[in-house]
Amino acid sequence: MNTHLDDGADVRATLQRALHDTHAPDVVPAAVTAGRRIRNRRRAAVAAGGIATIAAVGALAFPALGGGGSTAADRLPVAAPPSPTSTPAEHGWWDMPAPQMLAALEERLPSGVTNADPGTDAEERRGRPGELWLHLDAPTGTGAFSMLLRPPITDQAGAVPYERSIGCKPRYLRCVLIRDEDGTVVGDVTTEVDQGTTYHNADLVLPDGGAINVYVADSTGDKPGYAPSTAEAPPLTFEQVLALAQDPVWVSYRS
Amino acid sequence: MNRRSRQDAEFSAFAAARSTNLYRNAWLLTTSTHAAEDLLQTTLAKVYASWGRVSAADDPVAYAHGVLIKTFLSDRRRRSSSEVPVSDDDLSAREHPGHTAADPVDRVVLMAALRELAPLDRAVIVLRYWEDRTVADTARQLHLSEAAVKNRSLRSLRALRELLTDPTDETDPGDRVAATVAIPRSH
Repeated sequence: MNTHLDDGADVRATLQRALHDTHAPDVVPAAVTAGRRIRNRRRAAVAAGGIATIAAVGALAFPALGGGGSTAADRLPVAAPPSPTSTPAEHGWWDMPAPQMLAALEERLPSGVTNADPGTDAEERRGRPGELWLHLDAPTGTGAFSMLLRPPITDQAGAVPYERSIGCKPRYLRCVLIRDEDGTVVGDVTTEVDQGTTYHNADLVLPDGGAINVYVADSTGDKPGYAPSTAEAPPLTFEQVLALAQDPVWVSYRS
Repeated sequence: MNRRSRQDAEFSAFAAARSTNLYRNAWLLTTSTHAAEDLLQTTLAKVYASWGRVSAADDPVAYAHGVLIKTFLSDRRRRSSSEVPVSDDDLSAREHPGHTAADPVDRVVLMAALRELAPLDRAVIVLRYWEDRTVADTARQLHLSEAAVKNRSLRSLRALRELLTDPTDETDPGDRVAATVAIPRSH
């Protein structure tokens, strides 16, 4: 091995040569506008006394797309609402170790669906707390799966929600909104075709400001379009993704 | 000038001064001008929302770069930031006084090569060889062990060198960049 190459000097030079004359677009005005929205939501959350407890989560079909009816889900355990002067949430259920996430997932896989790639590389991909990346084998073929457990974005004033684009859009093949007991939309599950990849995606925001994302596709690429389709359909169905995203096991980890 | 106007002015000056560096990082991470712009805007929005605390921190610049990395790694699934192949805008060289315009082929080839790496490996490359962070610092930033950072660094360097190498060129792979990667087509 050429040890003089290990410092990456050649790659560093390539990066610098390729980008030295690149300048940023002016996004500051838009960033300020978006930043004010984030700040206003934080203030509203503090004024409302923190986090409302979700007693039950129901799924409500998006009528225009003709989805299924409501489904009840188990009660999700949530932390007590923080006081306005509480310290930021540094550790929580979102720190679930990836091997533990994998074990929980494998216990919940439907019959006929299995982990397609146990092994060294898959272990590395699963190494980060709160993130699970693997491929699933199913009767319909092999496809990518990922689950992300995301912490609340906090500041000294209290927990704040994620800014995310939850909601049904016309381009989706299917969309179901997830609502809490007050009827507030807190997530969605969608089916979309993007760059030749068909995938189901679930986003769920928890009362404590954390979030869960589930992605399962009919190709083995990490993102839509990264790899050609390798299955007739994603290895989990839309309904299975809807149930999986709302499973209370994902908020059960305590460090 | 009231407090909010003063903070806005401070933030705008900070953002103007740091946007180019943040954008370059974003471009290397996302390998797309559109996604890089999204990532830059989201990062600056988050920094703005916490500006009172950020501006008082020891290193606001490091904070902003940390937000960018975390946002990239956590938001890979965002539907609004799907990566797209490089556009003609990426190929145009914007000349900067005192610098030679970058070869547009270099940029396209580099982006295509980076796209072959897993996002976390890209983050390691950006932190280690673009921002010149130490192994320990990179490990802390990415919540990896130092051994994992070293392994990923070597593996990613090897992969990039192979992707950036013209198989017909017999010179040392560390001394040149050449296009052997098929440039992704637009859909």
